Amino acid sequence: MYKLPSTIYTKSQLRQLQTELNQLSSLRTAKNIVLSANLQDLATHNGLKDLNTALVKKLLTFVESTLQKAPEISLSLASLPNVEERSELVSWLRGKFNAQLMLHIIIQPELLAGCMLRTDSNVYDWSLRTALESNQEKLVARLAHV
Amino acid sequence: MTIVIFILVASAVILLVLICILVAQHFYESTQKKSQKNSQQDTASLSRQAKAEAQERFSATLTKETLALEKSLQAQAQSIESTFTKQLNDMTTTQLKAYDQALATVLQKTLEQLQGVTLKGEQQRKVAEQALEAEAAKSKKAAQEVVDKKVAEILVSYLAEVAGDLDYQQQKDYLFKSLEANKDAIKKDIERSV
Repeated sequence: MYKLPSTIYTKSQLRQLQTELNQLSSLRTAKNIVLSANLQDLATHNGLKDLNTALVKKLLTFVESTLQKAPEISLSLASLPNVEERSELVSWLRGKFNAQLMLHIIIQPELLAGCMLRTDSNVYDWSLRTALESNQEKLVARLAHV
Repeated sequence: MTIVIFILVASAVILLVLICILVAQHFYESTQKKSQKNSQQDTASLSRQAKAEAQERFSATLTKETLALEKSLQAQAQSIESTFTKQLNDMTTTQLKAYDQALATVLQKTLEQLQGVTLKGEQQRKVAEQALEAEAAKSKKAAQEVVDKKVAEILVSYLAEVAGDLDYQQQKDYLFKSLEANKDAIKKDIERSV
């Protein structure tokens, strides 16, 4: 079983990989073919050096399976994390919840800070805006004692 | 002759008698007149004298009576005055006592009424004061709430502006902390969706 690198965390990336691997599988060899960064990452992450047809097919199967089965969560953030930060976040989430977890990152500056996490059945709101709005009464009460 | 003499003598006698009668009459009348005149003079004199005496007596009596009357009047006046003064004093004293009593009664009633009014006014003042204090506290609280709410909105707005400058790195710890705190619930959700 292959593992997804932390740089690949969206289903659109998986679909691109699926397309790419499908194209590669129709070729006799992947030699002299410039691979996408995601595919290179996937191969490197799984210790695959020369992608032959059999490996491509295995990877394609893995990618298709992951596309079908991998759980996905949406994470709304107030500011965009850079590549390293995204990678760190994905690694952390996969380590905590599911190794094949896919992540859909949405940038919502109106959240101010924190995040909102959506699963298939729930929404978790840890945004600063919601915290401020929901705790405004507490703030008013605290101001009353100033 | 004799007759004539007689007649003559008789005539002389008669004439003499007549003269005598006339003289006597004249004398009588003169005397009478004189007497009458004297009498009249005496009467007038007496009358004047009597009148004068009478006047004098009248005057004296009048003076005497006047003095007596005056004394009597003075005495009566003094008596009346003293009596009047005494009665007036008595009456005044009595009336003043009654007036004082009435005044004291009126004052007492007025004071009682005033105390009642004051008490009632005090109670009403207390009620009004309490109502006013409650209303003032309510208004103050409402105003304070409005102010606090505005301040909170300003603070939220300020924090929103400040937070707008926060980058991901600055939020990362909070993000991981939130995720970690809800790890089990998220894991269950994810497992359900697989």
